[in-house]
Amino acid sequence: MRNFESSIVIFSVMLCWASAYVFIKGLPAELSSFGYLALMNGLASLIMVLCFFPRLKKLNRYNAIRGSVLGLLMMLVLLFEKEGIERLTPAAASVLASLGIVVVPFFVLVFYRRFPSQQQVAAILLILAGILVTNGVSSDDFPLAGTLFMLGDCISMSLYTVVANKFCRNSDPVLLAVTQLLFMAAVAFAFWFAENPRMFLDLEFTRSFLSSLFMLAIFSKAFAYIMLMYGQRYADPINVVVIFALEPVITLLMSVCIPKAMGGVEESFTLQAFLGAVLVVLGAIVSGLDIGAIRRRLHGIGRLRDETT
Amino acid sequence: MKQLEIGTGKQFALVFLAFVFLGICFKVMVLVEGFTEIRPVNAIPVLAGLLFGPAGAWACAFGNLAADCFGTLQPTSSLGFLGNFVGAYLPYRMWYLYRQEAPHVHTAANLLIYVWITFVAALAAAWLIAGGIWYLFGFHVENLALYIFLNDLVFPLIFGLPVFIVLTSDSIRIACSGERRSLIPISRQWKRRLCCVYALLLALIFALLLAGEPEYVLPGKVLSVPVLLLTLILLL
Repeated sequence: MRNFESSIVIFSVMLCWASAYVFIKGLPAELSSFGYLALMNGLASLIMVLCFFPRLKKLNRYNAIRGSVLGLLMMLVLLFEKEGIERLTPAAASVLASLGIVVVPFFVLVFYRRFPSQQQVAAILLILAGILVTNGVSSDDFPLAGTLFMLGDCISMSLYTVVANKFCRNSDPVLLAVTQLLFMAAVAFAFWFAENPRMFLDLEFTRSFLSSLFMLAIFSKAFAYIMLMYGQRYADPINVVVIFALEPVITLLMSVCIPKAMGGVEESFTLQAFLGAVLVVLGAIVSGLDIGAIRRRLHGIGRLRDETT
Repeated sequence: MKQLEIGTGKQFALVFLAFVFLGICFKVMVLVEGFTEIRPVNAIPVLAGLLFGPAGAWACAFGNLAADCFGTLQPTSSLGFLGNFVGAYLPYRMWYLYRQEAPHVHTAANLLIYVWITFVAALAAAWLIAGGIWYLFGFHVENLALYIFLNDLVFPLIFGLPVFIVLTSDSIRIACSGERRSLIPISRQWKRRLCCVYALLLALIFALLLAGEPEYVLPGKVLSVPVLLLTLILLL
């Protein structure tokens, strides 16, 4: 898989996660966060076990531990995010969550002993500027508890990105995705049971609810995790976090483009949001450009011109 | 790594089941009541056509018909059957007009070919279904052509393409259905030119379908004759 191919794969995962809110609106209000996670991950695990049953025979302790570690990290991301969002304004939470763009290069340095390239540094700076321009927060927006939870979310997600990259290179991506989802489902069911022992019994399973449930389980869980594991196998972790930085831009675009009846919110596209989005997209483009190839091509054109004159 | 070989029967079953399952799940996101909805399942035809050729195309056609049995089966479902068959078989045929190797997008040029054949297949599906409903069944459904075109263009690009990349990567290396000899003795170069004419005519009909004025029925029908002929030339 080439670099641009892995970027396309990771981009599709980001699209799935960015568009999940359209289907989340189809879920009943009485479904708690743990109930939501338990149902999504449970259903996605079931679908994946049915689809990849013959492959599960290859599952060993090594794969199971690695999948569980990834599941644990992702569960921490979701739990920290839940607590953080409850205590912070959406803008402040978004800024803190986006700090992964700085934390991932640090982890890459620790795990791989590799500094980010000048191109990646330029991309990171552009994206950070874009995030700050879009959200425009002040120091009053960061109460200690909420800030710590969101920093926990950001560090867990960054760790997940780097660890997944390391694990995917020498483990079966499908087995990693299945064990990861099974682990997350088990933990979420335990939390849901502790929160409300009646679990499913309080829910009314309408056609719209079931449809949203299947869509979320298939696209934002089963499809997304398998694609993520395959994409991470070949992608640079810094490029992964750069692509994920596009998520707020895509969500903003979707909220404007999708009709309200189908989950859109008909948000007004402010100049501030537009400028921030442009900076984030520019950052992603800078990160994705093959500067070396462009230089070689320009050099080649220059030499050809010299030869002809 | 060894190639992943899948028998024709298994290819058909896999695509058929995926189509039915996803088709039914999305029946609730209706765009035009009784005719179309937001259909991520439309990511499958291009993928199935490129990977499995005729088996994939038949599976898409029958899968769509089976999914229609869950609440939207009507005489116009026959057009959905045709539209999904062409939406899968046309990309398969078109790929081998441009490349004499198994489908993959490891190069930027191949990626552009994938986008181009997805675009043409989306226009063809919109013509077959929305045009068919208007020209053969006599009623125009507003924006139907646009929704079909967008469903058949966007989903193969955002879901179909990544799956295609993974399936053709070194990790899986799925064995694609090989090229079949064409029954029409026209050179590849000429067929590629015909492809451009075909896309242009389809785009014209698409514009007429979008406008939806009653006086555009006759021009639409007239343009459909060469388009039908070109479809047969490209498919056979």
